Amino acid sequence: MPVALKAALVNNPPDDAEGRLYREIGRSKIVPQGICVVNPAGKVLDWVLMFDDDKSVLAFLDHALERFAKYPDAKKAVAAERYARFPSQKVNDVEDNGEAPRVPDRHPKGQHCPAAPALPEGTAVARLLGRALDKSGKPVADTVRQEHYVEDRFHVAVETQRKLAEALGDAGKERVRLPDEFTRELVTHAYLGVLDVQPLSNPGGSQGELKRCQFWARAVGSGKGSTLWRVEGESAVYNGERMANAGPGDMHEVKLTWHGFIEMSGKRMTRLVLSAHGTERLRFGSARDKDPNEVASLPAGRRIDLSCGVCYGIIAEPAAPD
Amino acid sequence: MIVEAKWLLICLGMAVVAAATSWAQEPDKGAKPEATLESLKAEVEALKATKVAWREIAWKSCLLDGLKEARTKGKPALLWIFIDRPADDARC
Repeated sequence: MPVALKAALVNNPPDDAEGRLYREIGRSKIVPQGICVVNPAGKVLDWVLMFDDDKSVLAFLDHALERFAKYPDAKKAVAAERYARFPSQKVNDVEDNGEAPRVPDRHPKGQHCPAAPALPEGTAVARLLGRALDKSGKPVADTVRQEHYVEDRFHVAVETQRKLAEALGDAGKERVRLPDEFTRELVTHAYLGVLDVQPLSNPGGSQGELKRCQFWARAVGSGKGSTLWRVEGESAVYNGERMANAGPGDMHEVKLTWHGFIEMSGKRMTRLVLSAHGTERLRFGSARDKDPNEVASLPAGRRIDLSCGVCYGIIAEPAAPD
Repeated sequence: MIVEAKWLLICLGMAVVAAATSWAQEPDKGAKPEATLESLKAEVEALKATKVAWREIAWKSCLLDGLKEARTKGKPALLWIFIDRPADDARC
């Protein structure tokens, strides 16, 4: 049963029944992230961070199943086994504390799942697709590696939409420049690769360089209380060795030309469709050797060397009612 | 010599202007018709790969849901505890 959990919930659990479950799971963690196998009572059987090789991944799953057969519930005490790398680098077990937190069937009535908090009304949800292009300008066929194919999601806050509406309200028949607060949001997410290589507002703390970010809109139609705007823009972003987990020689640069549409109704953005084409250069983990054994170094990412044409698309619309 | 050079420059200038005018007036046979919102949306949606291996895994993002289904099916739950992003946004 695959479950993707936010690390923040394991590391800072809420103070309720579900939080006690998170706390029990987090009690035996090696570091604030990883892969963990639990039985349905929430008792940890195994933690693992990395694997010796590809075969070890399957061996770990078999090993966890064997442990589950011995400890299917909380009736028998079970120590949490922990592997920095499976199976060669085992660290000390964490003994059972004898407690078995209650596992609620569902969240209390009227309470959201902490993994999916409710969005403020009017928030727009944007979905982004990005592809690396081959020499003939076609999307690269590989869709496993994030430097070749990426899907992302971000939100456009109500306040950002209000600022956008204000800027457009001043336009008249002339083209108008879109506010940076809005356009930076678009540009920030248009990149290939893992989170660590995000050029702007990098998770490592670096803001990156927004070398160019100019978007313009001109009204092209209206009806039923809404106005359609045609958008054009250019962006260029850069970050270097200050990216998270970056080293000597690492860099990320994205240059894009944008076009598309925004539909506004009052102070809200009801539709957004944007397309961008350009170039991208990404070097990450440059100082590392090329190592095909990727499962042996999972937490800090892997070597990437990319320089190619790219295209992106963004579609946004108001979040579905809660 | 000076006159010849001047004449050469004038001819060269005329040739450049003619070429530029010809480029400006020549219809761009490869140009796409201007996109509409709907046609552009279709173009963007076409970027989405239809079958990718990682989407075949039905990740849950709720711990309670995951444990409940593990209990029902008599299986363990494999928890991937990672960066604080929604489980379905695919970037990690």
